[in-house]
Amino acid sequence: MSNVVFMYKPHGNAQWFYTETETLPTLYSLPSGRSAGPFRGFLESTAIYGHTVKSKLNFVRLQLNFNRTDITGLVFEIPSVDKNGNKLFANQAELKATFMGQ
Amino acid sequence: MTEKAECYVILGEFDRLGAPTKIVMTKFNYLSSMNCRFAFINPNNHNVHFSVLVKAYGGTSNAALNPYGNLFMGEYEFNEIFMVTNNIPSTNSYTIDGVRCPVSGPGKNTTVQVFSADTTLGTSRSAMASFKIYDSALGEDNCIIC
Repeated sequence: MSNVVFMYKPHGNAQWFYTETETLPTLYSLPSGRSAGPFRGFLESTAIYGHTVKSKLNFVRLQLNFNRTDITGLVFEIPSVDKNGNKLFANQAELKATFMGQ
Repeated sequence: MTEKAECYVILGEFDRLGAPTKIVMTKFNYLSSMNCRFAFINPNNHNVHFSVLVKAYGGTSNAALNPYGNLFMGEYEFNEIFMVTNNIPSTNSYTIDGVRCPVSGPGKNTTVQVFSADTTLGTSRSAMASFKIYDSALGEDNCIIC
């Protein structure tokens, strides 16, 4: 499989969009020293947070558990819209202040 | 972690079709688990859920193209970690690992007002102090907020 095209309609939006991938990268590479699976990478992980009050300084601690030891980079993606379609930020300035306002 | 991790932020876009904000972390060592902490200001909008999707990479890194590695090694979704609320906290602080942290404050070197109740001198005194919030088990190099 190389290219995938899919259509989607965002929550609360009447318009359909589509996007097309380029060649997909290799998924779940073989860990060093292993000849059989599973190669999932993550085991169960947990998260804790400080509080829930809006506009206040907060923290999130993620406890990540792996089944491999050759991970060299992590990318944390924080969506700007939750799964109910609600925007977390009223404008771009608030988004910037959330992550770079300290 | 036995080394200091390096992080950078790629800001996303706020609207409904916008890209998520990405925090990239590299140059860390671990055995089978690791703690990742980051501080931020909660969003202004309330009744919204805060989630984080973590993607792991390995292989060969390239400073210009893929600094975190070229092999995708799985992902984990922390879906709806908490819902942002409009509540006014009953207390002005919360506790993590036995360390009490203020809910409010500008972040780095948070300034607090310390009032003395020393009545033996016949008067109350006040003073200002600056401090960093950090995990006492990990040391100041692993500040929760610093």
